[in-house]
Amino acid sequence: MSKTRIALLSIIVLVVIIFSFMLNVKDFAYYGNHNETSLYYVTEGVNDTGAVNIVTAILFDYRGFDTLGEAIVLFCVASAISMLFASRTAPKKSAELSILARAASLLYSPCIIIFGVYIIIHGHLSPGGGFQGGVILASVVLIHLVVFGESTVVRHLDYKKLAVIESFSLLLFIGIGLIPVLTGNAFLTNLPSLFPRGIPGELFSAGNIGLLNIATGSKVAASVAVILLNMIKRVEEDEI
Amino acid sequence: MELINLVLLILLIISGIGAMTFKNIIHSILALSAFSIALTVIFALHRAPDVAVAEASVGAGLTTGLFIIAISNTIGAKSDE
Amino acid sequence: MPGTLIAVLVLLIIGIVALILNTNLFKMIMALTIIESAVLLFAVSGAYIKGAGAPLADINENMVNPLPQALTLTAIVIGAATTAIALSLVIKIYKHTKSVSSEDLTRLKG
Repeated sequence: MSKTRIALLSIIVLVVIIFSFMLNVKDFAYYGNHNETSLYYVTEGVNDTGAVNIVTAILFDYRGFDTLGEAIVLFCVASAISMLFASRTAPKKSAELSILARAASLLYSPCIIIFGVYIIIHGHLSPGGGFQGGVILASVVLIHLVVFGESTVVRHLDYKKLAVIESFSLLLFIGIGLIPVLTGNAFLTNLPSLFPRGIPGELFSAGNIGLLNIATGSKVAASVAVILLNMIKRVEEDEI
Repeated sequence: MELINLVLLILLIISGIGAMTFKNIIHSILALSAFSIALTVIFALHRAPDVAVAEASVGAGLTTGLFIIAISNTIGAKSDE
Repeated sequence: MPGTLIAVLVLLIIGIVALILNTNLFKMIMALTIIESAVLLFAVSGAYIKGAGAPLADINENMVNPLPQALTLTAIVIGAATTAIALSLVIKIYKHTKSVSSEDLTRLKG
């Protein structure tokens, strides 16, 4: 079968499936309504965890194990990209933008860093959390790679030291999860006796969600920075 | 909200079609970035602020940067394939 | 609402047809991104309840469904990680065959 025929066949199959779904969407009771599970999360979420942001409470308390899985996926991706680019080196000379761009980026980079740290720390109070803040922190590295040129940035930021920070953050995440195991509870439990709850709405509340946010944020920032610093490497001129 | 939602969905589809049919590869990447920004506003309109912040930082910032690094490393920015 | 479902269907068709018919590897990776974003839009639009607010407990009393939003957050990050690995593989392929067209990947042995 030629490619055009495969494309047309897949369009027809897809249209048939999705139209049959759309015609029966009223019977699909959870589309546009609450589950029993989500009703429980909405009504009891603040009392159970002490976090005001229900999505962060689901991600780090009720479903903390899935977040650990995602952190491990990012770690594996950073390791794989480091291995793929191990035989290359960073370019020795690279162009940089004009004096206006360089001066302006030195002015707004501290603001972006403070904003990223704010989003990480206030993850349980307002929309945000570990992942969003970590990617914002790593975008500062991307801005500096564009504005100052690759050779200048690589001279100051070695990806091996960032890999050490990344590994330590993942170990911190697992360590915070192992503390309840020492007292006989499950992994990653948010115990009120070990991690105090506080009043919902304050900064120091919600048990171990704040600590897990900080660990995840630094881990994601370091992972994305390692990925970026590896992908700019070029082949040596006298290789095949 | 229905009207803004409809306008943004049309913008989403147009930038999706544009990302796949432009000849110059840099124009495709810019259309993908516009796709991601429209998706961020749609997520914010559907009362999902966490997802909107994540899509803004990852889709419009990280993915576009990765694509431009990859293209400058391989075929260069002035190609017309 | 049916408008969002129709947009998801159109985006899925665009993504899958572009993935099959294109030969440029970069366009294939962009089509994967579009397919994945369409599926996540479907998940978040299914969580919307008319007249309810965002899932922040000190502002709203009745909230939308927070469970698909947590799932979507994880999926966005993993989609970006997949894109990063795919682009790294394209860079390695370019070093060996000097082209980014899928018709030149004909050698089975490296």
